[in-house]
Amino acid sequence: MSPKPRAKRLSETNRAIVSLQIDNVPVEALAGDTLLTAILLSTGQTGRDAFNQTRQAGFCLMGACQSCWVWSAAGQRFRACDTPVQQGLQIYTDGERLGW
Amino acid sequence: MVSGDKIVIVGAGPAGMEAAITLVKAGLRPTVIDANARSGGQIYRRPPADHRRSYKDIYGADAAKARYLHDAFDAIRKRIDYRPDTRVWAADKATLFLDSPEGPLALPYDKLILCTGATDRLFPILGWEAPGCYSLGGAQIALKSQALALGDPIGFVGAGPLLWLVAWQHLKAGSEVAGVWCTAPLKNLFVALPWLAARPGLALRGLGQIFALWRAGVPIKYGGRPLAVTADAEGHVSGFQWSNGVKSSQTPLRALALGWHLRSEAQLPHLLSVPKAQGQNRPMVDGLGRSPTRGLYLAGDGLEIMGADAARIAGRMAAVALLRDTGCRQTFVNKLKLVSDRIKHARMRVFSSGLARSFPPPEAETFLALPETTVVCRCENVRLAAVRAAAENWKCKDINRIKALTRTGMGRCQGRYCSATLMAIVAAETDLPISDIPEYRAQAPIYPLEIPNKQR
Repeated sequence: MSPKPRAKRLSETNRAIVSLQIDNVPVEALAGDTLLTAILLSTGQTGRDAFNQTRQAGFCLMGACQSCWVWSAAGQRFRACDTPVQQGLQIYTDGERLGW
Repeated sequence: MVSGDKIVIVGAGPAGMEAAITLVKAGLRPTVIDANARSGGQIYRRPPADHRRSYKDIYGADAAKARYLHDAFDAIRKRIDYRPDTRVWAADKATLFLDSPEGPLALPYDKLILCTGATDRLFPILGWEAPGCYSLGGAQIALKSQALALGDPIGFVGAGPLLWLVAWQHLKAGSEVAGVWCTAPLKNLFVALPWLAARPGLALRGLGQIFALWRAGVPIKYGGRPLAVTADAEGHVSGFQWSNGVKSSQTPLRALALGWHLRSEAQLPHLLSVPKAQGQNRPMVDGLGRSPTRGLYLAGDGLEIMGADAARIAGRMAAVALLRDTGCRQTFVNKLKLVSDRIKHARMRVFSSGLARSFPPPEAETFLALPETTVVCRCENVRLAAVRAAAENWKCKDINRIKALTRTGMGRCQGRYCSATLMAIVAAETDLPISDIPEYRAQAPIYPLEIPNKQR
């Protein structure tokens, strides 16, 4: 079960729905959302902190802190904060655990 | 008259856009490298095409400026070589090394205008490594480009014009604001009024934001000290503790945005060996942004934190300097415009110094009062005790030594979000002014690069 999302949409809710999978969980986002927005409004967490094993949830949102990395099934790495959602995309937030 | 020089502008925020517009007017065709998908930089960041909010909704009082810049830049798109989603990860005297959608590229150049912008200047709070802590800039980006409040409610802590602006923007957009905690004392604002009066309209706008937050019943605190970010059972941010020096308070919230003004993204001038300006933590340039290195110009917040209006002027001035060096003759109108730009820019610098007086970074005592377990470097999980031990035991006067000893700044953000803290700690330990403490040395790649594994 996903925890209740902490983030909240304030407007712009009238957009096309985009379906994707985050860590094998089906998630619905809106066209124009970043992967991070989709994550924060659903599963709520990106990768694991390598030291504390705690989850992260993005930090700078401008591609500078690099704490929101996610991976495709093929192992390609993206910054969730500056990558737009795409229909049918499957992403994984725990690349290290998957061996990448 | 117009030479065949290859001109490259790095950055498509207010400085880079104005520089490009100025060069195109003079008949040149610059290449513009933009790390973002759409031009505008951070302040005039454009939402995705699917969004329908008006300019007024997104940019508020800056709507007309945002629209002008976007339209003017769109109008020259066919007359420049625009490269969105492209990052410069290294540079030498004749080549930029790019990470682009087409893969790695080496781009030769003759003349270079660096408009690399800024990131948030951050200082640590106990527990700020918890998910749910964000930079102020990050909270603003979520709002502007995603119409998203990162937490409901969200709180804001730090000092600087952005603190009030972002909190006010959240209020306007209908988000619940848990509180605004400004570490600078309120009296600073009044002491700095003579400098802030250099731009009375802007100063009043800022005061208006504070007033609007107060009138809406948002809890506002000045001149205290952050104690801790508290987390729930899942480890996510759940509250914020603050001390006003006498008593402490605890406020529940679901996200916290932090920031103490901004810091320049100055890795490229470092890599290109531009010397440091005397007594200041910025690269050396002349009045127009010309560096001592031939053909290299700097403009905007990447050179000096003065905000978007000053960045636009600086972008124009750097372009004019380049045109002069190329032998382009200036018309009388252009010369007049330059004089007016220089006067305006000088006035804006007075205002910026007023902002620096109003919203100084936390004082040395704040760092000395932090618990030893406070995480200083988020990426590598380096805590204050280790940093302080390195500074004391090894008599480090240079944050690069501390980096070597403790791994601060060696992680994914490459020191962007711990350098200000380390410089402040070393300044406190050595009693040197912060302008005498060198930044982290830039190392290429200045962003982590993914090396694609074709075998996968």
